[in-house]
Amino acid sequence: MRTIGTGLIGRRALGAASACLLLLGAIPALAFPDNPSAEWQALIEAAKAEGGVTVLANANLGDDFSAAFTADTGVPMTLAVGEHGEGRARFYRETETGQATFEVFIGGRSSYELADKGLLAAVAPMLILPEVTDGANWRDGAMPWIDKSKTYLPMPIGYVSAFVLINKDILDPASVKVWDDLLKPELAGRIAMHDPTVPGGTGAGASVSLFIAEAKGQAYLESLYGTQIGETTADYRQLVDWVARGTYPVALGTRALDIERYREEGVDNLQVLNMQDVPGYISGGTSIMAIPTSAPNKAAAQVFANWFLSRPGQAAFSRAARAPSFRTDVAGGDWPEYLNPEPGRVYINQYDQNWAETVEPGLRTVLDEVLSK
Amino acid sequence: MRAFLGWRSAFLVLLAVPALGPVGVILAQSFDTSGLGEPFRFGYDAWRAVLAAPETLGTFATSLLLTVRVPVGLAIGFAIAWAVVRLRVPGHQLFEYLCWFAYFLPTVPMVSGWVLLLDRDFGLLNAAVAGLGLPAPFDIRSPGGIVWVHLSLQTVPLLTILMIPALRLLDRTHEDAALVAGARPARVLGRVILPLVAPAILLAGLASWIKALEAFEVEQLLGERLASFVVSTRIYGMVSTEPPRMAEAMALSMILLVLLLALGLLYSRALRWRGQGAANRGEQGGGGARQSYGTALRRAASVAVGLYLAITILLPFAMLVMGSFMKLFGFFSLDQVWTTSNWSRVLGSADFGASLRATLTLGLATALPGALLFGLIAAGMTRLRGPQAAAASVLVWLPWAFPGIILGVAILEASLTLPGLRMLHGTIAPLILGLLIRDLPIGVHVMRNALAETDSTMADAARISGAGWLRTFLRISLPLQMPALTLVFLILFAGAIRDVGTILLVAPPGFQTLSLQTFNYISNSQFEMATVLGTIVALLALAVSVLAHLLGRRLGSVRSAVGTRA
Repeated sequence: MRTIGTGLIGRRALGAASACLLLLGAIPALAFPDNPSAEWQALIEAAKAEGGVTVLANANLGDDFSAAFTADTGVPMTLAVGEHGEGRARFYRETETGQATFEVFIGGRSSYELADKGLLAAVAPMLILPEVTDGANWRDGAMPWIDKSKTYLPMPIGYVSAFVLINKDILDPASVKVWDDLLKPELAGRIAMHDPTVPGGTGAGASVSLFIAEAKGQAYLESLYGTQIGETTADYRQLVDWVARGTYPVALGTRALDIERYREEGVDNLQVLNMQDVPGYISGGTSIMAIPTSAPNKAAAQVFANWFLSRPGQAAFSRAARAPSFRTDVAGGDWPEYLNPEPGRVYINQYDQNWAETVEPGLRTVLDEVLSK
Repeated sequence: MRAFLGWRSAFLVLLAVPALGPVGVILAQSFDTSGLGEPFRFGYDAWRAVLAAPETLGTFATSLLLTVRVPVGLAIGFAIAWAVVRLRVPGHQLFEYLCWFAYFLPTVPMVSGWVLLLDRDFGLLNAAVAGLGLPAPFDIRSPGGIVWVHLSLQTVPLLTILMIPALRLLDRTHEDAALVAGARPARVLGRVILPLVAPAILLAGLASWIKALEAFEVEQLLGERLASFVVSTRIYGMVSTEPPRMAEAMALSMILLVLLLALGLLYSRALRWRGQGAANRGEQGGGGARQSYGTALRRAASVAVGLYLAITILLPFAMLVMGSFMKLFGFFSLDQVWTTSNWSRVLGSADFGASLRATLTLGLATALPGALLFGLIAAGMTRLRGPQAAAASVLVWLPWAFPGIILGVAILEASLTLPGLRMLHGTIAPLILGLLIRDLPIGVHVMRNALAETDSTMADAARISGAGWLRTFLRISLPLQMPALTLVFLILFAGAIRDVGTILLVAPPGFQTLSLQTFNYISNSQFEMATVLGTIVALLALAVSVLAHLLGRRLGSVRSAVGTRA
């Protein structure tokens, strides 16, 4: 798995440290949390007795994330690919048949129906660490949830999406400031976009299209798809690749992870622009945590839930996912500035269940109409 | 007599479970209209949705269109086999080995090699053409690109392996007579050899066509710009969407299965027909290669075959290795293009050790019992006669028509919903089951061929001396069949370590083979890491192919069965 941040030696050192701690289980040297309660300590012991936690999550998280969890809690963790297609299928089918082989799923939105049907465990009552439940540690005074009951599906990460990626060697960044600039004749057929028809409809192409439909209206979307979009692809990296090579000077629906990877390796012609008139929407990426009611190791699941939403958990996750956490004490991490929501701006939250149930269906109809033309 | 009937009936029932079980699961699930977490509710909603969807016809049409590679592959494969066997071109042994190597190569990482060569934007061959001032002619992520990848990595090598034994068994008399009568090599080929091996060619084409219809990995990886454009990738899309559209996926699978099962039955019948034909040829004797073709022709053919195999097998393999050392896959314009950090990252990752262990565990856990089981089934089938033998033959060949991805879905659903199988869920048992069902046709066929060619005197003597069927099998037949069993073991082992489609949905969390991890890397566009793992799996495949080739040379006729996996 791709790892970001800590180097190879650091990872090995962390892994070795965690292994030693596991072998010498009696050493109470774990520094997390600061003042562990008896309840927490009992929970940790129960989790260890269960054998650990299995987490289905984005493959990009890598060894650092699981090593950080084990180093902080002493509980072994297996990180399995879960956000990708087959992992999502496993999550849904095992959850709905009550035969989960994992404890935690971290993925995108749209697990609302599982929550509504009582197939997901209530996470809110599991949270026992004060630093997690204290609203002062979260932006807007409380931890965000995406489900209406604010019980099952926490959304600890939130970043601005619908940014525009350009090749600044080909296109003057000053020429693209507002959404209408993308409709200029000189950009006709020169914009690449993530495929909005990817099955599931939760990819960046669909999300950006829904945002544009809501913010700019159907006529704008028709113009964009009618004359400006040159090509779509379901491959996120290919979008960045096209812009870097100049195949297309503009791309919509790209991932920060790919952009930053290219920049790190020496590609210096990429520039990200947030449109000034409508700033984009808030996305939770693949940070939504869900725990099936049939999760086999319940104590381990609870330990993970608390750690994941704590400062160290969010620091490890936002570093690996390269996205800003909603926690106020996890700031200035290893993510690009353009993902940070601007203070005072109002953003659409596409992960909110209310939005998904009331606004999204109408926008989907608009998008389907546009794409069918 | 009654006991015999009982034993035979039980044997057929046991064969029917893996052959018909997945079909039953898929059919039942396709009629499930229940909502999330609700019990089974019968209905036709999924069938209505699938049949009404305008994409359904399109995906089937595209799937059929992409099978154009089969006739093309047959032509190229036959030409290579002819050059290797009848012309005995210089280097023929190496060429034959290269086909075996390609057969065992993992397809998924090899795709990366072709991407480096033929990507529309950065492919080296495109860049070379563009350097001449011409527009880039290739696009790997297109239907044509997908056909080419299949042709080069799977279709041609496998069809060649299949046709080589058929050409070897060919009676030499007619060919000699034609040459003595002054016919040119092309005329001998067209008027003598081709008509004689036509049944074998048609059989290979049918087997290859079935497999072409169910292909998944290459289409999934290279069809990103063509979302869900063939049936198998559309099924995968339905399964992996949120929430999964399982019933629709099953209905679509059922349509594909009906088509494939019909072809499978046809294939099974054709196989029996050809078996009789082969026996007739064998009675005539006099097989073997003719070496009296002109030197110029043999040299020219050697160069052509060598060039083709070098371009289609060695070149993408070299690109795969090269890609593993690139800082940014496909970016040759960076100040610093090369790095060894991909290797240190992969080899230093905890995932690598776990994946290697998982790969070897799955390979051994599948191949060891599988080889013995298939040997037993083959031995059991030799005891059947008449309609029972025909039924067993059909049952054994039915899984040939199961696309890996559909088999995986069926096993996942069975392990989640059938009470007797639930205890297996979350273990590697369903993976082994899936792989054994998938390889049942080829494994049993290899063993049946080997048994048929074994002198039965010793086994007869054992039985006359009072040894039972099982004891005779264990003490006489099994040791005699050890080379064939080892070959089946290697086929199963190689199949298990490179499989993606069958085990993708069934692998328990944390159990990830090198091929699955490679697939995930590529799916996440992490080509740098994927090429490292791909190189490692390819080297494993190289070792297996050397062993298989050596064994294959000892089991000439057995190779014909292996080749049917085209």
